[in-house]
Amino acid sequence: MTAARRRKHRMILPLIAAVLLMLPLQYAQKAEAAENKTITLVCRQDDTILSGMEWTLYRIGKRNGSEVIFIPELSAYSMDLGDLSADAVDTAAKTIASYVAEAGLAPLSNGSTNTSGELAFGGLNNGLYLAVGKTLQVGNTTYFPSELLLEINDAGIDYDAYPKFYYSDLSNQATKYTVRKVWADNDDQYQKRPPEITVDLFKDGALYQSVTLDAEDEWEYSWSALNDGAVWTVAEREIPADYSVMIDSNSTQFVIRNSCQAPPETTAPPQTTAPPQTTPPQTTPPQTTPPPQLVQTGQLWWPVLPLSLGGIILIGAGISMRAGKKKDEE
Amino acid sequence: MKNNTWKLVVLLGVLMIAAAGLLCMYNIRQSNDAAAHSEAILEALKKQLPEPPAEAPEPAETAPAPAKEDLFAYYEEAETAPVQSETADIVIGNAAYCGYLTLPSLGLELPVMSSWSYPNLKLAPCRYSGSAETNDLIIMAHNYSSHFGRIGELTTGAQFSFTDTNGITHPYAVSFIEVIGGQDVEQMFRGQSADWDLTLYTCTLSGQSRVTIRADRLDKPEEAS
Repeated sequence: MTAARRRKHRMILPLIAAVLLMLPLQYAQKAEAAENKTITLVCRQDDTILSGMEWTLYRIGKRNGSEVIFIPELSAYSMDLGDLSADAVDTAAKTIASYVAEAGLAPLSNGSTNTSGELAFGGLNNGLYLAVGKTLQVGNTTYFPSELLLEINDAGIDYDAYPKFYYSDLSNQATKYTVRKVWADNDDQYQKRPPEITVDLFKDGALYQSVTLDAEDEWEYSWSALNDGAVWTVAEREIPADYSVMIDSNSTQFVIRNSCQAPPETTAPPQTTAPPQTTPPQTTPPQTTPPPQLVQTGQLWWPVLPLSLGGIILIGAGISMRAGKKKDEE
Repeated sequence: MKNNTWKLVVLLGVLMIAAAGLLCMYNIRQSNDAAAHSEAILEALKKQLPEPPAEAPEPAETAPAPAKEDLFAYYEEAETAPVQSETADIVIGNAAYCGYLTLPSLGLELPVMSSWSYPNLKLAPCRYSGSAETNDLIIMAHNYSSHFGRIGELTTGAQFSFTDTNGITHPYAVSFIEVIGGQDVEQMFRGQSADWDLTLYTCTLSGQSRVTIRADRLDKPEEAS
């Protein structure tokens, strides 16, 4: 190798090294750009701009098709989120918010809306997020924000989200709040219902009281507190085995609805048993429960062919036997 | 004895052919009886059907959400309300009917019983599961030529309808046809309300599998985005 060629190599090698070093950096930047997204909450109600409203953002998991895969802190709670349709998503967000409080989940980010009523949460990776707001007083009116379930995915871009609000003039007087347990288990058909449950009451995300509900008190508890704009949430501390939970609420009422997922363990006759995944939803009309195998809807046609063929063959054989016999006689 | 063997063999052959003929006659008679019964029931059913409403009721997807002023009342209603169809069945004789099927390409019009049993299946097609309202209706019938014996002749895109007991006609078009094993209940229900809105099925001639017609509802409301 000549000295000139060696010099040339000395120049090329650092160039190749530099390119190789930069490649991973470029890919890393691309990956970051793909996941570095922003959700902006826009808080306006009619002509009122809700500036200064405090919001907290939690990362709660990710979505895999129609299934929500929760982060480990929430995965122990069997939550019934419905089909996450437009009608169901508000209740799903309330349910998750209750268990975010129950689990004491650390927020990912928080902030307040600006003078335009907007708050941007940036730097978000793919996943599902829950935004929980605090009440805001504007004049004599207090605005209560709804919880928001938000998603960042590969197909998504930065977007604006519009929380719903309800508002009221605070009386600052004692107000009665009630929590009721509702069982969706066909009157304890599977006998899985526990004798009592414990419900934690949270005021502005902090544990306020723990109460026990049972059949004696008709699975209901009421408490009084000042109507001071605090946000109340409730959570069933331990969700009974084989049940899932859904929590719904309005300004003073809370419903904890437990749905039983268990198939019957009794030795029911075969016609009353169907695969769990095929059990029609409760909203379907009364019907005969599908049996474990599909109903036999056929007439007995298959023997016709073998009987006919067999008969023809036998007649033929008989005739040929007779012919053989005649031949023998001759 | 040996001389008469051929007679016995021929006699056995004749008996087998006679058995096949009797079985055919029995099946045909059963099919004719079913056809006659279905025709009579259909006539009575149509007389009892109300006039279809001038305008179809607002689909549930676009109906306003229930007011949550009293949350408990809402849930009490939801929990304690008897589970029942939005359309009441029509009782004719001792049996309840949920509507009737019209299959123009097969020249068939058949009443559909609300619940199935083997005696019911000898008279008319029966609802196996679901409802037209929830887009998961499954109807089954015997493979009589007067019932579902020829549904395998339906082709993709063939249109038919189901008229419920409110007199509302729901139009459908065949989306795909499959043959499902007699034990495969899971496959029968797979994709309900998503991949199909109505299913018709009957046995194959062997009775081991089910000819299954999947159909999409043509007047299905747009999914809420």
